[in-house]
Amino acid sequence: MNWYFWKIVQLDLYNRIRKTNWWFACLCMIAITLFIFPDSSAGYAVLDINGYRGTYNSAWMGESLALVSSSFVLLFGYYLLSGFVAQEKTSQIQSLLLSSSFTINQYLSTKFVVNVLLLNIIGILMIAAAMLQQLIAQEQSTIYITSYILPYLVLILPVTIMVSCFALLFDILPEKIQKYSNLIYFFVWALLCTLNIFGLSAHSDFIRQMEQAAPSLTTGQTQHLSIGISKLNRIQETFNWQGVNYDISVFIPIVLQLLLGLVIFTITLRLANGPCHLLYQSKSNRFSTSTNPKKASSNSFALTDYLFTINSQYPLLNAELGMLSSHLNRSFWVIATCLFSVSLLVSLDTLRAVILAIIWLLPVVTVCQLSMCDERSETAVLLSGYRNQLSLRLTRVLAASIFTGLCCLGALIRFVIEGEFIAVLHLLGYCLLLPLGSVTCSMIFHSQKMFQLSFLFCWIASVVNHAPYSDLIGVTASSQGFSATWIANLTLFIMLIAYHANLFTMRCNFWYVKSKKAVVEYVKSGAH
Amino acid sequence: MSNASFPIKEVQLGIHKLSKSYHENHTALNNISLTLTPGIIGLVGSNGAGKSTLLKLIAQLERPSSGSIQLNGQDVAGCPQLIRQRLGLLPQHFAVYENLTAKQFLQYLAAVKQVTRKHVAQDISELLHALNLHEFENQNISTFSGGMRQRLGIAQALLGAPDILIFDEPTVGLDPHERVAFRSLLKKLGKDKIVLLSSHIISDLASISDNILVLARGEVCAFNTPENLLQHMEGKVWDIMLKTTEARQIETQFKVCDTQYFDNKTRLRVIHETPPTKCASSIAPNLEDAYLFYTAPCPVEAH
Repeated sequence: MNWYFWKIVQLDLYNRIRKTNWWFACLCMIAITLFIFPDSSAGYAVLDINGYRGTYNSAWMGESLALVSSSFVLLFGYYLLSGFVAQEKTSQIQSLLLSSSFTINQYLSTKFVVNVLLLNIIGILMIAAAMLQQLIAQEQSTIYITSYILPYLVLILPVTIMVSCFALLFDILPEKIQKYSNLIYFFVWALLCTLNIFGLSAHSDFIRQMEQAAPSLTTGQTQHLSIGISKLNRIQETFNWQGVNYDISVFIPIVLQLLLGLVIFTITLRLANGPCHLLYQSKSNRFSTSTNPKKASSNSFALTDYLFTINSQYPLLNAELGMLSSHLNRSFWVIATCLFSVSLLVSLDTLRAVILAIIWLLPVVTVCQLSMCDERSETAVLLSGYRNQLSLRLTRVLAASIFTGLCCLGALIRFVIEGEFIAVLHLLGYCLLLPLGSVTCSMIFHSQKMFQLSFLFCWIASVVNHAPYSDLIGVTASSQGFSATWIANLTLFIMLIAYHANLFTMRCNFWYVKSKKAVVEYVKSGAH
Repeated sequence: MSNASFPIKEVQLGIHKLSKSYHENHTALNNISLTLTPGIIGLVGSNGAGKSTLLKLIAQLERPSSGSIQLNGQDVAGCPQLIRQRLGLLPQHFAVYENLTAKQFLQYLAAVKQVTRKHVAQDISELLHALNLHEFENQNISTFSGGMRQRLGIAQALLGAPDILIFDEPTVGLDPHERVAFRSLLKKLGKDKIVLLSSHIISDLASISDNILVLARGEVCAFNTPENLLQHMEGKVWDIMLKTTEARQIETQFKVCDTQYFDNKTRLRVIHETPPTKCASSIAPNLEDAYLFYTAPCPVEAH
């Protein structure tokens, strides 16, 4: 670890914290922090032990924040960090760096340190937000910094290290696997959450101690700490929480997590220097992928031609459909067909609870990724020379909606058979919302991260917490969810139009100023 | 094929029977042998001739399928760092960290290349001045034009005073003034460094290259000084003035590198060992003629 290493880390960090995504993630996490500690009159609770919560003191706030945000960091942290190394590989900056005496191990080590620092800066901002909120809430306003720092070190820091390692690992994998990295990581996250319950994290220790400290409403009732947004019918009672007892059982999981991180990092280094070599595998990969997609695209083009010959009067839509299908590989169709069959076979309750939750994710990791392809390669600029950008984007949305509809086809038919027409409309709304959201986000932010983050927020809030306001697909079967989907559609549509209208207005202004000048000159020349 | 005849100073790069195949049907480089010593080596060849592959192999960004590269007699296959720590590279397509300023980007690269700490600030300042970027040193790279980015790319390649410089299409995006400045900078560098310069524009290479390496279909067609290449072309370039109908016939039979149309007549510039017609008159060759001669579909034995 010499001067060069830290200089590289410093400048890389400086480069990455100036990206819009990172600032947006900071704001999101600060908002989540404020959301975790609602006022008594807010009508909802995030942490609740049979109607009780701890008084807002440093111990309760520090530990609650660590409990809730460690799960968030484990999931969102990955989506925030992933893609940087892969992007540097495609943009050739990696070749530039690695053609010097900078080794692959040094390169990945700097990226790892920067990843950890990025997440911890967000963590520190969250602590600062919680401290501020403790002062504002004025339940017990004396701030004990150690009460915030200790749970952070125990629950969040090891998670940031693990996530950084995972982000690097998935970034160095070959392109074929990388396409599914988001989906694979989601299952990794689910696995880690399960392992956390069995002692991989100090979560369970924290929760057990909090449950034991809370008074019970009725004698003999078992205390249960629920984490998640729940509606409150009455104001939560408070109890004075003194903090977790940091014994050896709390520290063992830290060692486990750090060991897991070390193993992943070692595997990453081995792979990056061997089978998934950062420099040498790129070319052969490019050749191998350039041959396979040809086959895949010819197949899917044939399928698209067959399915959409009816659209021959809309050549642009046909071209978009062809372009999208050429990007989707065969496994997309296999998964979509499986979902179609399962949707028709399982019970309606299972369809809502399980299948819809999976259907919800499939288009996000496939179709919606393609909304960025024009923005990244600047094809949008090229295309805008030939046709109006709004019509191009709306056609992309329509084409992607058709593919999203194909993912949901089984569920749609099932709802029609069962006579659930509201659910059909809800699902159709989702088919439109997904591409619309994806295209709008990539258009405004030139990145997919924003879309992915907000989508995952909705997925967790709706599937895990059953919150109707974020139910975009009908998991909760509530009219509130149905309205939310269509309101979101309308809002995004207005945003899309407004974005283009703004440019149009600017052009109008330009011509207005120009014509005004011309009039003035004409009048002047007439006067002469 | 003859090797370049430079006085050996510090660094010598030997390329022995180097081949690179990407898969069974595609051979990018085929059994190339060269010895490179300090000086400017202009690398020319049509698209897909193997220029970028050769540069990547030298820069250790690709592994050869067979053959070896030796630096001062030492094989670098086992230790790519041998070359990397003496290398300055400007790839054909490269990205930069958009959110950094020009100065910060160069500081970053200086740290990557492990440039001695006390020299970093001075080196960067000198390079920014040399490439006319000093006025924009604190400006974000995202605001830079294509030419400014290219100059920044050149500056990063020169950081740390490397012994081997590889420039893949360096003059793309540079205006005429910048091209001239770049050429004079290269002239200075070429005195004690191996400078490999790849370009499609032969006139760019003609004035500055000590040697020109012509690649076609993955093989070396010629490797010699511009003067020797021109000398070899003496008596092989012909000027013919014919009626347009007769000219069309000549165009199908011989290698024509330039055509000018007049009222009923056509003037042709033809490359051929012997006079194509009785009325053909021999004219002075240029490097473009030499390039077309050596890269003709039927390979000509390099001298």
